Amino acid sequence: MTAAPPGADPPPVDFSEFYQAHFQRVAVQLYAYLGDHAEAQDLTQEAFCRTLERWERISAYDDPSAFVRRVAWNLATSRLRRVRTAVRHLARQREEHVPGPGPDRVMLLEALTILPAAQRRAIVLHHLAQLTVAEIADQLGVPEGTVKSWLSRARAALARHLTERQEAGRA
Amino acid sequence: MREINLDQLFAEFEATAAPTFRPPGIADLQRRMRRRRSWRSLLAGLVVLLLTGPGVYATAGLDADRDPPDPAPSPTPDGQVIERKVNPLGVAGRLADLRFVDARHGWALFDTCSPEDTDRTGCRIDLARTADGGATWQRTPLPDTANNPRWAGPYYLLPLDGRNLTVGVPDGYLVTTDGGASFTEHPRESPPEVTRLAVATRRGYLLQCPGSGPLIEINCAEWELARIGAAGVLTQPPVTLSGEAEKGLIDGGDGRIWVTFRNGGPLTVAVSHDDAATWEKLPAVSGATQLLVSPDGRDAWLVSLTHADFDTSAAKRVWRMVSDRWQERTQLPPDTNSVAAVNGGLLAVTNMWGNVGYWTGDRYLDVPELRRRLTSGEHPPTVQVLPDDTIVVTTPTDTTLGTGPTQTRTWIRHLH
Repeated sequence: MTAAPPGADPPPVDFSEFYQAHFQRVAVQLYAYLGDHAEAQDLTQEAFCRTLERWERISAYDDPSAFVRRVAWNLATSRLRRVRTAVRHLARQREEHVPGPGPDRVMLLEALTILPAAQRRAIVLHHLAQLTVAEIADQLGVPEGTVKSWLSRARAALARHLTERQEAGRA
Repeated sequence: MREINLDQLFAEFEATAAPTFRPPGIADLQRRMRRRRSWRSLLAGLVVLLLTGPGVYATAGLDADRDPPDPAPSPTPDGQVIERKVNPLGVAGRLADLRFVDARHGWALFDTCSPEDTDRTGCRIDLARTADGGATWQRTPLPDTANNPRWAGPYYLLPLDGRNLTVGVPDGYLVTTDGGASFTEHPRESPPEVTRLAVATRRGYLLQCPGSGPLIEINCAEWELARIGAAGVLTQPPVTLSGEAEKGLIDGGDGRIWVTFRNGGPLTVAVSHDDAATWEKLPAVSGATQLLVSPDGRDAWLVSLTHADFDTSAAKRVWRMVSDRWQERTQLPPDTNSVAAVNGGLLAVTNMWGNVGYWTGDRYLDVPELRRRLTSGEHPPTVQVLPDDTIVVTTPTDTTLGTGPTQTRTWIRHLH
């Protein structure tokens, strides 16, 4: 997240346009990371709520979407740390009013769950948020080498898992 | 074997998943924002507690009306970690909150649903208490109103000690001052003094907006030091406590009060030796980000480490106050992720691999019985120190207490 230099403030961005343009993209990232549609929707809404509260300042940033993405991911990371119960899981399932995910989405979501959270964060930020290694390192507060290692391990594990699933499906 | 194209797979995932998310209208967002502000007022005290950190409790034994400190359990002779499950009889649900106030006393909140669930139909919360360091837990029935809230909202614990506890519920506060034998109910707008004291230091100091009522406002441009129950206006520390900056308040066990302030630049520290009558502003130390004070107040440290920007490649610098001057010591190990001051001139530290140890200012002393035990994979432990010098190491799955003097401690791991 970078602020515009003094004297070179960009024109303020309309929050409504910003909200419509970025909500789904952020929500999809959290969905891939958490594997929980309702949580992803809720946390994304919370992140935009916090952004709206500070919009006067954030709209002057070079890239306001970086702010909302960072808030959303912080919320998601924090949420994932909490212990979940079967009761809660069932409750969430009842609240989900969207069409069930198709086979490809299920397959990717299932494959992502085998990854440690750090690797999952890195690969989702890379493939869905389109962040570079340096940007991921900046967001997560780790060295670039660590991010490269996470991405490499995550790709290998995903490829292995998905290949096994495909072969099992053909057998 | 067909090659897996991850780029394509993620692109297809995004294309199919994105339309399933429907952004609520801006009006809904604004309503949520107003609800958040309302809750923030209610939870302001809790936020203050988090902002000021565990050091705010560092005045054990100064208040006569609280539980006297009990002797800590004797160390286990074989150096093994004692493991206990927080699983009281007759209590349903998962452990939602676990708070120890000293080596012996703790409170546990259980919930059959998630605190965030807005529909709590059929949900149940329950409370349990320990007075023997978690060896046994006794269910402490809550009033019926706890499970029949009129509003949606979070449940949380604000313990003061082993007798005084506030359970924050959506409708307000349930308060016990007799160890859970009885509870009184208080509306959201009127937290009683015991509730406000639970988010202040042991002598009742806190940082808040000027003119705050009982709800302890924190949404303002500039905060001030206040004391619950005190008449008149305190002398304010010689720093501008702007609302957006990082602020800290530590009530030292030796009577000194420390206020810290950092707004992107160097950490500013002000200290009072006379109950906030006069203040001394200490020289700023470039690179320092956090002040740590031991529970007995004798040892003060600065570190260049914060939980928010943990980075293994960054230097973890340490300064110790010696004869009223900051003296730089040997850096902490680079994988240190959390640090707190204990009595006896030591820092308790944890690292990203789940290890716990001590830092003397010059070298690392390992706690071998905990080596690589306190981690759940990607979540390293964090450490804090209670007023009676008990070390608390927390992970998402367990809370471990280290009791006893300096490095001679009994380690008891409470599994959630």
